[in-house]
Amino acid sequence: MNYWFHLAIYFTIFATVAISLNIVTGYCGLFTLAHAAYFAIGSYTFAIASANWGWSFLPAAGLGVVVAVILSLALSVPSWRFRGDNFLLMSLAVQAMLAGIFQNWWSTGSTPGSWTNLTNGASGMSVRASEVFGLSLREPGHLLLLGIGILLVCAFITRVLLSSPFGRLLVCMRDDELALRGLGKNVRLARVQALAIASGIVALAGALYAAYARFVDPQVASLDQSILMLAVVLIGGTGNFRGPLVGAVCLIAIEEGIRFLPFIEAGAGTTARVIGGGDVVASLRIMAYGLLLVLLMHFRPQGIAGRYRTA
Amino acid sequence: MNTDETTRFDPVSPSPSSTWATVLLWFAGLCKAFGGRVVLNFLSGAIHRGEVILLHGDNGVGKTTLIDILTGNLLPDRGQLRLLANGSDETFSFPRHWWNTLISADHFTPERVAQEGVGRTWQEIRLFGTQDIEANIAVAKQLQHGESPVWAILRPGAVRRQDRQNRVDAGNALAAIGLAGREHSSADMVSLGQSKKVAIMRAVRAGAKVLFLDEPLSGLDSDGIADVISLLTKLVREHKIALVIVEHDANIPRILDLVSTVWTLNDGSLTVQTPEAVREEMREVEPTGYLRGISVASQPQTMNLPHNGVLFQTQSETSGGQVPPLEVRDLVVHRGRRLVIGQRDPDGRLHGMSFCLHRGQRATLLAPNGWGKTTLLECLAGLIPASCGSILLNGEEVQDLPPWERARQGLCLAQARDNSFPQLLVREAFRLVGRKDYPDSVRHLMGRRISQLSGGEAQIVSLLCALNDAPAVVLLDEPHLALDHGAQTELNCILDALPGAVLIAEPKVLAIPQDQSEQS
Repeated sequence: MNYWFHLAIYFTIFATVAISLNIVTGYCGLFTLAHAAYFAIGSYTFAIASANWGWSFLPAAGLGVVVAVILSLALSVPSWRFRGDNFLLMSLAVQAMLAGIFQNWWSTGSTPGSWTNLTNGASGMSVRASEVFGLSLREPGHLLLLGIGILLVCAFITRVLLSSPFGRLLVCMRDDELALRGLGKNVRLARVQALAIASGIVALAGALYAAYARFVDPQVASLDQSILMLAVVLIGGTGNFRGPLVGAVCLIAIEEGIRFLPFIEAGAGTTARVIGGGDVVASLRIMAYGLLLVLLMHFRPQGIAGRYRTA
Repeated sequence: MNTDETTRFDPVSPSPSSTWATVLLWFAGLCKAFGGRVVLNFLSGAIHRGEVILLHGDNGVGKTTLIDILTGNLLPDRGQLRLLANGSDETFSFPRHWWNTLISADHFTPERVAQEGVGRTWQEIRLFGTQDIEANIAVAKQLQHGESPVWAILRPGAVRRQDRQNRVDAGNALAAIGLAGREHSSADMVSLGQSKKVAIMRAVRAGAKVLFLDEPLSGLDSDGIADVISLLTKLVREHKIALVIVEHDANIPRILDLVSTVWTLNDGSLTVQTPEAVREEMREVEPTGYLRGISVASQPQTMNLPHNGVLFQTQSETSGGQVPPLEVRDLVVHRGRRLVIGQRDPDGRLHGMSFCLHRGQRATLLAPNGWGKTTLLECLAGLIPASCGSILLNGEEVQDLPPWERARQGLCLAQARDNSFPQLLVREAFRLVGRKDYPDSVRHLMGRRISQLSGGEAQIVSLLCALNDAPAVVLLDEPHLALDHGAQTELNCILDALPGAVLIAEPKVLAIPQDQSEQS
């Protein structure tokens, strides 16, 4: 596959992820570690629907969105009175629960995607080549067009939402939840809605990833992936539209920069393993992100493209 | 209290039926205890349309607890609350049953109570700091279509139209409180007085017919106080909004003209007084006495400062040869790019602030809000860097030292807010600073967590911690904030006993002329 197509598709996936996480982290002020799990819900649902029922991309991805929105209640309802550390711990619990399901819902002798072997456990599932509007997603060009379309639609919807009174409500909730409740606003409902929207969007990105990588395993729902997603948003900058896009560009720059380091063996971190992995590239990527986060916290805590204001 | 002028509420039949038409909020038999300590004991009362109630009482008697209950922020142990402000008649009985939690319309929460026309403001204002002040007002409007994501996506045109009108209305509301042209000022960049007015207008915009105001005048200078009182008067006269005001002793005489009823909370029970009776009490205690002690008595030296600031210093009793504990030379401080301490002359040259405090000397810095009092104190303590100039502590330059080094050399700063460790017990806080002796008035607080204390109690505990080691230089930022008269007297006794130099920063508030208060 053309290298630049790979980078562009990778960018659309991670930009969509970052846009969705920005709703929760940037606008609601909530740090979640369960985002990768909702990404994986989109991936797995797409894989199962396309493999078992032969669904094309849009209905299969749409089902992934619906499932993720419903399962977002597993995070938003139990944690609706929590903020800060407590919310983070709740999201960690949900992440562990969902990752456990992806890891353990399998049995030998059954077809992957069947009721008794839903996820095929640690072995993962291959994903059937899908199509959209009659265009085969085997073609990188078609995948890229789909990725750009999904990114634009998600960015547009998010933009409309966050520039509306709903967005203002979320930002005010982030600033002072109690004061907002004192104005008669149902902040708990707003938070449930925000988490549902973010989960739906990230599930769409997860479906795109599954269609692109043609393989999905429990590593996509790992805690590392959630932390990486959070790092992308924090490095790019929260609370505006530029931040997630800048974060996604940084992710690719770091990933690809590491790939060209002289001591990395050729072939490590292949395109099919850009998410998940466990190879040298993935380890170095996490280290590079950690270092970048430390530097940013010291010198530019609002992120690279975050809101900047002098006193 | 003059018992002739005091009437106890009847807890069973709180209001004659003829007055129900004007009742906006009614409560009966409210009880609340914290860990066995009874704070509210069968309180009953009613708030009528256009009524202005002063809720009055010593530190820690439960004023904020009562406000928290009546605004849905705290569940009482028992009692009844009836909300009639919005035309509907909602009754909440306590304790709540488990099935009350099943129906969201039956929840006793701040948002539910606010939707019934009961609003509040907080001591710490709580504007939405990252938003402009127009958005702070606009967000408060009820029933905005755009707050539903489905509407926002499917009917963006209708949502935009409604929001545009909402913003115009918010702009008009800001113009009505003298903030025309400031719509896009960030909420964390406007002055304290302006923030308080925006917070009040925000609650009104949310539909409050009954408004609880927790210390609306605290920390304000004379202009700010006049502005807020003018706004409150307008709300009562033109909009018939009922106000319940909690204010500390120093500011009570300033609002008594507006007040129609006084509720005094004492030992868990509520009594009603007339404003005249309270005016008499206030005259006896002279709430501004703590400032006069320094600024008027003992022939102070007066240093006029730029932008209407003034520094009063008592006469120094030390001989000229002694090194002063604190000396400030040509100090210039910036906050970001803004020059806060220091002044430019017409030629563009920068002149810093200079003063000197000797051992035993007392000084009061009186200046309007936004002058930079807190900035000055924080710079002296090392929390903010000085742009240029020198700070000498016992003759040695300390401007390059970190705060803890300055503290070790005998400089102590007590900030106005966030000056304690809320999760510590009072006993633990005293142990942390090594304080072994403490006044009897705080003995009963020893086993309580600082976060559970009232504002005044927490303030006196944090000051006792700060002043433990008899520091050479004491810097106090609005130390009398939230203190009742008894606590103020106690603090003044502690300050009098300190051997070092003391600098107190207070907002510049003109004293109420005695004859004016008598006429009114």
